[in-house]
Amino acid sequence: MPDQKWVSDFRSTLLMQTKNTVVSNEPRSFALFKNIGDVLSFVMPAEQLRFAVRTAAVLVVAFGVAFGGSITTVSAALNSIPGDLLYPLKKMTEGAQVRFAADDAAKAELHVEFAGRRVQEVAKINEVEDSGNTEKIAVAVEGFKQEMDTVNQYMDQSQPEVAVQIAKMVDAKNGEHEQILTKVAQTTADPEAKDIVQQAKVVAEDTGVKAVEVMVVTHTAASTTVTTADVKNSVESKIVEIEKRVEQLTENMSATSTPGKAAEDAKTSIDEARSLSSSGDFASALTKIKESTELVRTVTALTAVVVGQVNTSTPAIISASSTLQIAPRTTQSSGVQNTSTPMLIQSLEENVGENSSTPRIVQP
Amino acid sequence: MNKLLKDKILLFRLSIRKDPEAFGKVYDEYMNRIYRFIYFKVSREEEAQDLASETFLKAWQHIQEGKSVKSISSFLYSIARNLVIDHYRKKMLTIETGEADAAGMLKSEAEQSTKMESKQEYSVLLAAMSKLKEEYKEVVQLRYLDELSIGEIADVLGKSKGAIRVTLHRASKNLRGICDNKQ
Repeated sequence: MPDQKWVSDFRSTLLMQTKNTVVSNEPRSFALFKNIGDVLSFVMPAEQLRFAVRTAAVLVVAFGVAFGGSITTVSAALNSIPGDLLYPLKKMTEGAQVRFAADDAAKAELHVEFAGRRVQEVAKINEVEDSGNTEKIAVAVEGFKQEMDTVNQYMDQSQPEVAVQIAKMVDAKNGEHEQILTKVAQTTADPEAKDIVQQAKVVAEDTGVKAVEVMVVTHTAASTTVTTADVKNSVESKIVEIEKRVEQLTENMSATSTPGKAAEDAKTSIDEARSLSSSGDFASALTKIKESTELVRTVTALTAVVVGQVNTSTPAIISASSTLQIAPRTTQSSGVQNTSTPMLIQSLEENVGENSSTPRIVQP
Repeated sequence: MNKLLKDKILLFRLSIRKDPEAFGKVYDEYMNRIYRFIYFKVSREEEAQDLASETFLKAWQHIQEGKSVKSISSFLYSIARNLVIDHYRKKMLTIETGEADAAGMLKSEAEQSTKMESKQEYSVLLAAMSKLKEEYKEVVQLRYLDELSIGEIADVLGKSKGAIRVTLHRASKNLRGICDNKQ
């Protein structure tokens, strides 16, 4: 037998959901009519029913009975955030929606939408200061990562036409996700929450780059599925996004500082990507996009170190999909300067004294 | 009030009125059975809970969309069965019954059962069932544990009544053979 407490708890949430679902928008008079017809259809042969309905309709019109208005309720669960009572129901409903979806493209579209919901949840949590926000943000971000992970799997495993469809959906939404996450990272006071949101941004960026990769690879294999115009648009949009990120990071930054130098390298890489895209070499442009993405992360990490904003109890930015890794820090109580400097930063600091224009990236 | 009439009234309230209270009654009536049906296939409590929850959420969604429901049992079991199939397709696993877990769970039901001649017979039946091939296991479970009619089983599995009768007959024969070999 199932756990009866679970049975009882789920019953409560299920019935709350059923009571809150959208009810008909029909004017009451028509709804009443329809209900009478439906009841009668259970007990009356069709011919008799038609006669009865016609008669009733005439009577209704004759007496001029009419009720206006509509009753609409919206599921409270849809607006819930982690920590709310209805949040588990929201997730369960999403799961059910995915199962309803007709095919992989439809399922992936739902996952992209749900990823957007997780991001909205992060923003909503951040709107109100509360001691429990970090934990709630962590739950929402974990959900976001799972959705993006699933979307990535769909891009990997689907047929090219479907993968491209999914890549375009990701392209359309990713910029928005990154903007919202950036705003939250900038406005949240808690360094741990900032770190968690930064991890979400990394995942969003990686998925965005993957979407571009799908377009480029498919175009290379079969240009009829992805036209040159499509892939160029995808590549150049990504270049613009990365460029904006660099600009935001380097506002008021000295070009001679360590992060400043990394930013210059990122800009060089971006320019190269643009040039390659213009000449139609999208595969090489993609390589430069990946390179510049990593360099921007370097800039972000270095900037965080410089202003002492990094939480010493959590690992610094780690990109799951890149070859670039930063070793987890050992904890320090002050959080201002850490004596266990990540490998990459050591390498970059070594480069400061050299005349190399490109930082030497330490490969694990 | 007999079960058939009760179901008819609930069905009316659900299909026509979309009555949440009626849905609550359906839940009370069927949740344990649907859970057991799913658990027998997935053998993990959390997965069974998730899938059972989704069954009822999906059922409510169907009702909201005005889809036709002829029989509450068939309706719910169909949804549950399809969810389990999707679940395994997603995980790319073959459907296996964790014999120890499922038998253990059902054993506790056997101890509460008053329907079989003896609890021991019930336990023997369950152990034998777990040795049947999936197709047979399913019809036997639906018929003898979940007490669905042939028509309802046909609806759930998307087959004709005749095909279900034949499968049930073969499954019962197999089951008898397994039980006889054990003795």
